[in-house]
Amino acid sequence: MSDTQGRGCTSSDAGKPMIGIYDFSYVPYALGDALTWTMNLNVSAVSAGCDAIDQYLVIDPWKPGSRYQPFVTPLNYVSIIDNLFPAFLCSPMLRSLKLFRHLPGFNLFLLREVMRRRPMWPSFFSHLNKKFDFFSHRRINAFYDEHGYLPWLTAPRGYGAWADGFRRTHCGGRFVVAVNIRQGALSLTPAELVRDSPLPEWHAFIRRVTTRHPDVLFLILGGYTEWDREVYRLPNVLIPRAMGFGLGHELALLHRADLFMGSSSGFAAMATFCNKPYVLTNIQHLFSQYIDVPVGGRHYPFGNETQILYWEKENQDVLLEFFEELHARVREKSAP
Amino acid sequence: MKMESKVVLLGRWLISFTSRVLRRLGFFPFTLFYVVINATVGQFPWWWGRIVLRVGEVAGEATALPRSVMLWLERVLTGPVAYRYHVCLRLPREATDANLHEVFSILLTFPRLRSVGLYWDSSSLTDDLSLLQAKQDRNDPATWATSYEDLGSLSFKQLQEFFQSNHEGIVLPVAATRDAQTLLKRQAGGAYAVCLNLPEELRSLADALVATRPDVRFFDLAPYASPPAAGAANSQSLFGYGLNLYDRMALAQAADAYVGNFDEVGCAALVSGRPTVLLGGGTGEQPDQVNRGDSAVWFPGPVESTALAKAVLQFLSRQLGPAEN
Repeated sequence: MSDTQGRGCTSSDAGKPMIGIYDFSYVPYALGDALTWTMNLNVSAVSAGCDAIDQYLVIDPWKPGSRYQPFVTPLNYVSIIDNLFPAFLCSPMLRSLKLFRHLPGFNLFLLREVMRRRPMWPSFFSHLNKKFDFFSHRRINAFYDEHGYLPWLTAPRGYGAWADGFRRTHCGGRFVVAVNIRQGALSLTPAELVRDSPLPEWHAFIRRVTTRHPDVLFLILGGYTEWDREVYRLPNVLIPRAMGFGLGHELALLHRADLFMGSSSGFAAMATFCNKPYVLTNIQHLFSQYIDVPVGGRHYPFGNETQILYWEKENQDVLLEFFEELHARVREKSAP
Repeated sequence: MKMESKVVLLGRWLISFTSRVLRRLGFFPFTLFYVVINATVGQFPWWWGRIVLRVGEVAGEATALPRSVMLWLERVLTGPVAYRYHVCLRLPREATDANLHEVFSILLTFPRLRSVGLYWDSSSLTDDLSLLQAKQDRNDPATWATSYEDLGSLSFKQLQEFFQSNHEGIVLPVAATRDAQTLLKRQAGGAYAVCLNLPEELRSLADALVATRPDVRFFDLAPYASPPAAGAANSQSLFGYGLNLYDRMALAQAADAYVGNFDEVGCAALVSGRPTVLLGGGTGEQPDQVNRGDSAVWFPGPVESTALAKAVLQFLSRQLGPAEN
């Protein structure tokens, strides 16, 4: 599979660049937000007629986090940005990525881009005000309404070929389901535990699928602390983090998987914006207003019949039902 | 105090105070004033320290890019304390190894880096260089001359220079260092801890070390722990622990000695000044063994396994004391 799939242009020398600014003083360190931001950037770039993206990540090392993330301090921000870095490599138009931890240096670049009237997302004014809508799907939906397609995300730069190799070596032609079961309670920075998914239901679901479809292989995604020890005992399961791999590898594997199933969280954003077949569970009702889908709506405006939203807390029966439906559809679609 | 110094100090205070006030206000038009003032004063070396630019390029295939970047930065980020560095890396679109994340991790361990640019396009790099070069101190030819360095491959000479030189040190995240210390404290207690990071073809060396030194706890980072070593009471495979690069480097620095590859983890051990045995990495004509005082030894090429085990055991005996029988 190509890493430049979709209709977004690819980077090339001397392309017309879009400037992306991710300033951590007002945008959070979060996988889902970073991926949604990248998708918004893709959409903005194509809308502005750009065929390349220059990304700027900006951190003030003395005050590295926003007021919503006071746990990010000068002593731990390096770990946190390092853990998130691969999320910024998922745009096929990416031609440069710059990290500034020196505000005068960044501001000089910023003024240069402003003087050149380069298209920028967020706009210069929004950046100055430190207020803009980076988390909603408003811009993405509008683009889809107008053009009928989206410039999708892809595997992180440099990881696509590796993921192909992993599938050949470890998956042996099986039907691969990438799974992320949100467990904020087990994460290093616990937050919004109400969004966590019920682990026993997922474990039972995986056991039942394995009995019915022994050719299915589950890849359990998420930080090393975030999955339960029982996962080791489940059949037909691989855990990339326990095999020495990191977030870049996981995002690439998700991009190459046949299906994604998981709670509404960071990995779900990747599945949503790289056009995978998916089931996203336990979606917060509050989220409805930001994605322009009524509570209970089955698809995103840009989603198709293999891309399903489920607004309630999942159980094994629901998961199995969705799996059977999507497994059949995807198999049918990929049949020669 | 000279009059000139007083003026500089007063100027700094005034700009700093103004910047803080504008930043605190945090909305337009104050943020615009802040950006303009901030970008303008950033041009002056007397305000932010001298800006030095370094550019690395990966022209062809680079199989051990994180190590190459680490060695390069260790070499080029040397200068007076007031110097601040901007680093640009020109990378190929198609990488041989999926290790860009580790390259980024390495870059962040150098606290004097003020910005890092990763480029997959020549025109973008050229464009940025013109701005960054203009910020350098034009009166200093050493910093003004921006040279491209090929990071694709490392010669024996480059590795040897790194092995022998004094290192300014890298700074790992505090959490990684803390977790490594805690792990060793819990698992090894007061016993000596040795970090192993051996290639698969040298698994017999791990077996020999584990069998010969039952008084030492071995922590093995290799993905292929051999059955004898993995089953021994004094050996523990950490491969399945989900350690990232920082965790592995911190572990190599926290252990009492390191025996393993001359990769970025081995470099971290060497930089920390721990007793270190480095293996491999050499190419072409090279000696069998290179010493760095008493604290480190490097075997650049293949060594017969029995002789290697004997040499490593002797080294450990010198550093940790003889085996307790």
